[in-house]
Amino acid sequence: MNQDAVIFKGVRDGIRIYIDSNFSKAQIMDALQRKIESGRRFFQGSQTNLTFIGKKLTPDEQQVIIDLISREINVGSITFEMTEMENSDIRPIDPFDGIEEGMTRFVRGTIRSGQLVSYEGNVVIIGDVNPGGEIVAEGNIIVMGTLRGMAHAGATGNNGAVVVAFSLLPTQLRIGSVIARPPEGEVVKASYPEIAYVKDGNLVIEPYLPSKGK
Amino acid sequence: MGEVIVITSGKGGVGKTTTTANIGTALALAGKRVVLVDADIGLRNLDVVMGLENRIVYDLVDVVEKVCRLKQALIRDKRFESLYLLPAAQTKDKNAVSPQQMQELCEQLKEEFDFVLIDCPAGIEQGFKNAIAGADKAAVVTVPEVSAVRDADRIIGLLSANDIDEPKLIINRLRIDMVKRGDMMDINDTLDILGIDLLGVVPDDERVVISTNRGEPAVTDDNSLAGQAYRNIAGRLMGENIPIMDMETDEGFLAKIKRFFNANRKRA
Amino acid sequence: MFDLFKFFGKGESKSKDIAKERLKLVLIHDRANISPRYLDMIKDDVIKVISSYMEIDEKGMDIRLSRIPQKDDTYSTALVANIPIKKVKNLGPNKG
Repeated sequence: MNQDAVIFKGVRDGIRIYIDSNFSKAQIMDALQRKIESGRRFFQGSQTNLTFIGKKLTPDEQQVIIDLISREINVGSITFEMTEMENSDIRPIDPFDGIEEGMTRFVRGTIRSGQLVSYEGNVVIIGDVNPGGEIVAEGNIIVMGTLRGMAHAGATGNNGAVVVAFSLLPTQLRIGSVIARPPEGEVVKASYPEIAYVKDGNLVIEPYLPSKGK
Repeated sequence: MGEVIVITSGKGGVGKTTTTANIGTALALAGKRVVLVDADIGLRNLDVVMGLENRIVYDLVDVVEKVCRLKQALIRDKRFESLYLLPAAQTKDKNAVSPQQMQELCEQLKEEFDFVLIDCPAGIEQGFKNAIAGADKAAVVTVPEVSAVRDADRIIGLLSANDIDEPKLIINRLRIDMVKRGDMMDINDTLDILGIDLLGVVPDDERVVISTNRGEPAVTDDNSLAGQAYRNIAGRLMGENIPIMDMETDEGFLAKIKRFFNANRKRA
Repeated sequence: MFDLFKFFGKGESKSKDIAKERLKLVLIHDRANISPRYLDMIKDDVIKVISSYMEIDEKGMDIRLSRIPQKDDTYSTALVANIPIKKVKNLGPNKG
């Protein structure tokens, strides 16, 4: 149980550390210490940004954590972004809410195997996404071509996001917390554009131009 | 406590990934608990050969970076429930993992599985060093061509420098017709040069390509000669004493077919 | 059919034998870690030693690793040097 007191999650700009408020201070410190020790090598060599989220910590507790980390991790500098610590209302990371109107990145060209496009907003690919290519967007994903790779829309938890492609043949699709893969064996090649979205916890794919389907 | 075997070759394109997939499947077929580890970070392929590419959520780098737990990243095979795949990351590079991390990972996997097979990337750089870091044993795959045998020799030297002694040789894509004509080095020529023990010989078999297209390893195909060869290799890894197949030797196979035809003719 | 091919094939080495021989030679270099540069270093030293006794054609000199067939059908590795001599030096005391 103890290892769930703190959860390390690698994000693009560093590591987020979630602290579960159901655990005692001792349990949290113990778990933190062990996590850091087991991952000591991982922390070495680069500047790591640590962001603490979750349980509200007193300034004393913060100081203890700072002491522990600066003792264990021998890096040049550590940046602390102690967000949500002073506030009494603790909210988890917000899912991106700009799926109706928000930041959008346009990528022109083919996304090939091994290439990853990730963006904290909507993504439009003007081209194809090949198998092994990955699109991870906090908002919607629109592919103006064939999507054969992996697409994760609503990556920070917005299950209302959609994936749209002229030809939707993904290796795997993820929307928010829902993961789906094409059925085994059958390869159905739709000749019309399709949209994928989450309905009652399931991922549904259907033509978005009613006249084009069937 | 299982054992960790790295499948390596030095040269690319000699069939490491196919070999890993087939031996692993053959071991699972025999009831062993097996995990296949794709150590070719940035150029993953074991997933497509196994037909598991659309099930990947987490990968080896996620495990090492502790983004997920090991169990979350293991993908169970479609056909055999004692067979698992730990896929490589595709959008990272080889330096995302260190030899020490690989060693720790192998130690963990050994607890759970009878066999941990590591598909090594081509080359002798970081990826190779990572792949062999946690290995107890090594199988070197080669094809009977000068470039591949030369690279195999280099790999054997590097393995021994890293305290993995007595690697075993797998000769892949042997063409019996060419061996007969004297246009391909035979088993003895290759062993003579490399001076290590033979683990198996896999004949060139177009069914391997066909089964790879389908994402189903050739061992599951009863009619495949290569499949039989892989099953034999798996048997040898389990300690069974299986002689090198008749068709694997330079004489036997064609002679056998001729005998078969002659016998039929007499009967007719 | 098979015999016909064999008949025509006679006289020239089978390609697999050529492959094997070439490989063995390459592997001698690989295993001993003897690079062409390393051979050059040997060559320079040999020139230095021999030059005090005779005048040699440095450009015509050839030094390489080779495989020498033995009586029992095996081969041994040898360092073969071909050194054209221009003139033997007069070393005085030996003359008389």
